[in-house]
Amino acid sequence: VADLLAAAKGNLLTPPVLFFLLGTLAALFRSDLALPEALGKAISLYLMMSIGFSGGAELAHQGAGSAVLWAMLTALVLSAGMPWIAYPILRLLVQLQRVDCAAIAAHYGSVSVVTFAAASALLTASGHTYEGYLAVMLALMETPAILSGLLLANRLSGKAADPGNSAEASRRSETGALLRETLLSGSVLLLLGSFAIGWLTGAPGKEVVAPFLVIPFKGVLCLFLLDMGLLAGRRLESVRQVGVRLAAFGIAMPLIGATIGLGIGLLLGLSVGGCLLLMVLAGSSSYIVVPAAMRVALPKANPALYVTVSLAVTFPFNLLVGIPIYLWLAETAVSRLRG
Amino acid sequence: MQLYPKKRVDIVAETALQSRICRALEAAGAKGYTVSPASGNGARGMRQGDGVVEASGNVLITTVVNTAVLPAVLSAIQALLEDYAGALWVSDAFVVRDEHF
Repeated sequence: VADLLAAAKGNLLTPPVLFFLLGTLAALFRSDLALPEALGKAISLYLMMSIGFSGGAELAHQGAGSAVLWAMLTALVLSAGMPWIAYPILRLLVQLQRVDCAAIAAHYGSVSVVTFAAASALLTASGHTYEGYLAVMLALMETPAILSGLLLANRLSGKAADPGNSAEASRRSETGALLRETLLSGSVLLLLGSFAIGWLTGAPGKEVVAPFLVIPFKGVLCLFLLDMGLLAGRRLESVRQVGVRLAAFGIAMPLIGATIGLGIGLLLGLSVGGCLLLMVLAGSSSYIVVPAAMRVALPKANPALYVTVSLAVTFPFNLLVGIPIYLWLAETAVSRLRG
Repeated sequence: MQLYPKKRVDIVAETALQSRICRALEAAGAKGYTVSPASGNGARGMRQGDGVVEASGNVLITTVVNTAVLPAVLSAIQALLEDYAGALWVSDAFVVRDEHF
């Protein structure tokens, strides 16, 4: 437990976490501090490019084996499966409407790129390495959860259809277009593409782009987390409106997800670093790709619920408390099981 | 200079609706439209984009159409706005190049 406290303190007193807290405070005090919208989007693309490329270069260094295929398959199943675990919890314990439960559940199958980035920054700072293909798992886990969310909301079956309603018909054709768009969404494409480029060009390629893609990563992450702190802080007031039960779900679900992630990580034989990142993937929730998709496909679901719980509860929880706990659990489990 | 009377339709809506509204406008007979980012206050309270969280953004879509296609445009957009934050208003406009509208 002393280790855990030390790890928690070590995680809290790092520039990325402190910049996040600075942003949160600025929002709470209603400061006029703000990042231009376009910059926030650009930085999130940068983070994906850097994570993808570094993962690919790492895989080129470690060598690709059948483990990569298993990891990819696991990622797809995990992303599609998590909403089916989240949904009954939401339905029975949080007791929200069916469509809201489905929309929120979809968020928890998907992932948060920034949480992954923060965890990988902590890993490199503490001397851990991780399997490069975790970056591919990140990419593959972004969208299958959307499909599960729509299935849970009955959006894909014929039951909810009302043939006489043309708005309903246009929305259904829109759902098909949405699925095509999100399955190849810009972030998935950029992550996979950067990974492929990193893998193909390997160490020489990394040397060329490191001054832009690798070395500034942590500083850029701080800037992005400042922005995330502002966004989360602005939504803190809404946490009271979504209710204690949903807020509790926003903390319990990452713990459930991380536990599942740890189990799977151990089965896949991942390193401590790999286990931590898989725990973060299974325990984090989306606040970019999935909310945008849910707003289009499930307009009756309340966005105040799913954006707030994902952005203002689960994201800060993972960043501040979750990651050091997960790292401690991963270290303990790996050292106990593998001596 | 000769001016031609038209109807101008302004639509403020969630970013999530943007592509559907633009497609509906074209299908209803509008020959063009202008899209700009938007934020402001209305029936659903203060609405401003969150940058990275695209789901909370808004757009202002403006189109200028012939009076004859106005009913088709209005009914198409009205159907789309159901369940979403959005507002729509119509005003008179005058254009110089009649053949563009």
